[in-house]
Amino acid sequence: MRNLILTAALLLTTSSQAQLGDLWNKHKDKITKGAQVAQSATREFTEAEEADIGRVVAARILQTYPLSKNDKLQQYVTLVGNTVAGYSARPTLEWHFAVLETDVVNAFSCPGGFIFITTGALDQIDSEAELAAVLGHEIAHATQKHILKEVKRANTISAAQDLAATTSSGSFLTDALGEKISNLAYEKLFTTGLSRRDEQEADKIGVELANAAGYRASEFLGFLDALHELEGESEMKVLTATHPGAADRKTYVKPLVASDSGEVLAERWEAWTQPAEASARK
Amino acid sequence: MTGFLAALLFAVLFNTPTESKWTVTKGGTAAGSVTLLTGKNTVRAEYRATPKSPVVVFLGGADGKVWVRESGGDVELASFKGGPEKSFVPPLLFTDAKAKYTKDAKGAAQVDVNGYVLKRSSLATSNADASNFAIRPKKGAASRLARLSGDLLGPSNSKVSATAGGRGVGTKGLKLADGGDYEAVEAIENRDSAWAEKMSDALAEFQKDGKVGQGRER
Repeated sequence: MRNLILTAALLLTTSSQAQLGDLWNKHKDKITKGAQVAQSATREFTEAEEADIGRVVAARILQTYPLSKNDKLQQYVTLVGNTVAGYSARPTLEWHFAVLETDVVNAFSCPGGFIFITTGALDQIDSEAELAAVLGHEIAHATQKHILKEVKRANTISAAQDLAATTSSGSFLTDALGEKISNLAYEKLFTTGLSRRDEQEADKIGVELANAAGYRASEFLGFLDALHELEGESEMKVLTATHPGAADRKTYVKPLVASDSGEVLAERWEAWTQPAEASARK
Repeated sequence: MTGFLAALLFAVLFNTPTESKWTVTKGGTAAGSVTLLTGKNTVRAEYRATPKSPVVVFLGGADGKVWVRESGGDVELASFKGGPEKSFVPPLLFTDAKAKYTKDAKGAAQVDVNGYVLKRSSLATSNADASNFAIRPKKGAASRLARLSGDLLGPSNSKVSATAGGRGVGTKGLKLADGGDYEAVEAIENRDSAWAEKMSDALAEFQKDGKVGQGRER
């Protein structure tokens, strides 16, 4: 029987444990609480906390735009999304990809792995590689924890709240705290947007992920061209308010994909996204 | 101040969770890196061959078994058809008679096994919560997809309840009075939970068909 060694716990010596044991027993409660407070003030959210926050943000988005009832499209976006997410810094996150039914051109990322793209955005896409890069952008927001950073930055959750026992819902989130986070996320996703730096980072990582997954990430430039042409249209209001201009984005994305190669999969895109009746006529 | 420092000292010494980074070489050539997380009685190793390679996650539990994460769930090491990492990552999780362990004051610092050398490059306490170590065995492949066009959504899988909860971490069924549409969130989680059993095969076929992802590499 092999022994569990928990290698990186890296085995304290018996003598050091003995020396500190008495002190530990004497002040156990105080020390534990002190360590928790010191740790909670600076620590990252746990994966479970991140998932709970993600549900709150996702619920707010889904209150704004309904889910598309096109199951084939939902499935396709899920397959492409999971393909790209497998190359992300957090491939084992519980990723959920979903299509929202609205003419508004946008995509959204929530903490914990909920990624949304609108049918309006899908209308501007011409290939699977483009979709992969757009989803890569949103995946990057999640892996880089951009919304979570905003939650922390806004001091939405204090160390004291963080340490609070779980509520009756079983989560650390209370109704009041959930509302605060929901409002903050709504403001960031629909009004002010994330920082330019975060958007630029998401663009950079997004094309890298698409390329790592085997897609021709330079197709993303086509999506940015489409956005550029649409700027000023009412369906673009949210996106233009919350993202850098498409021309600016092209300027810094172009060098990243200069020597790009990979699959475009325009035909597969068409096969999966064209309406069923059009498919039947072929 | 003394109390605070004492707290931190104890946090380091007694809060067992740790995160360490390991470099992997073979014959002096870089072969990847491993991030090792430890919990109370559990351990998780994340291996990457190159910075752009997908991560391979190994999990070890108190029962001494090694599991490897695949799409759709975790499989036991014996069933894992991966690459050479299968031969050198598990000795990081559990002591292996074939491996030679070199220790320093903090514990194991180098592991030599099957021609690979794993060297610890950093060690710190970790905030990783228990969900990182959760083992979710893959369900039997009873429902292989006949064709991808048969659809993930296709005829409902009778083995999966339509109301099955999401398999994710966090609080199942969390609903707060903030006005969000939690029913829609739950619908997505339930949908993905129902797809989970088919997802692994469907994704493999999808990637093979498009020569992307793993379908391009193998």
